[in-house]
Amino acid sequence: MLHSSPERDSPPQADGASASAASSGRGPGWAAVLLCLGLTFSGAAAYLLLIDIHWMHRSGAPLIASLALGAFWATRNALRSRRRGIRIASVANAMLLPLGLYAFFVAARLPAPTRPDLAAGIPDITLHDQQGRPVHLPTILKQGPLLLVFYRGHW
Amino acid sequence: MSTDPPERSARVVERNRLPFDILSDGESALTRAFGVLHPGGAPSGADIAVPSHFLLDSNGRVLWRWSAGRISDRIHPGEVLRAIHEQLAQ
Repeated sequence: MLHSSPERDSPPQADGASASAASSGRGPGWAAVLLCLGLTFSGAAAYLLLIDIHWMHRSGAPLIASLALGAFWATRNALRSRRRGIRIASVANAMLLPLGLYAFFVAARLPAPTRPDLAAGIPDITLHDQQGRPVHLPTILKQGPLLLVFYRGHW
Repeated sequence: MSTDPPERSARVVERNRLPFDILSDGESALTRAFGVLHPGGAPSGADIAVPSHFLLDSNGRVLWRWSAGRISDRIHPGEVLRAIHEQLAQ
């Protein structure tokens, strides 16, 4: 009598199916890594696109939120993946959170202003406007209160 | 006011259609006098200003001031107007 083995009679699986089964067993794939990176950098894009919304650019809320969510997802990918490349990429992604926080809160700090040296009044100097016209500030000041706005420059 | 040369400020005024003039403090004399110089703060290493506002009375006395703490800090125009109204009402 011939006995057939169910395993021997079953048709061979297609390569894609076996690869899919193998990759699902190794945790998140490169698609998850790329999506996670996209989420991480979406905050930077939102920060630039929404820069006219005062509280958003001053607090950095979209930037910090995307970095935090990206770091959480990346950490999860690194812990669940068995592939070295995925784990390295995910750890690098997660490191963007402390780097981003450092850049936004520490590296971006400006030097504290010093006390204005105006004991003798506003300096008696003449500056030129964008058309090259001379402007003598003490003369303008005599006309009434003046709001001086110092821009960072290098636009 | 900025430390940029007049030509660069002219492009800014034209591009943004600003209704006011921008003075050029190329030597940073006024920026230094007001204590808001940021030495080497530009990407090129040039001196620039810490973004700041000063409200002066006709005698040159500082009635109100604001300066940015971080590169991204900018005061809301409403806050500036509120400070001006409060100071000038006194």
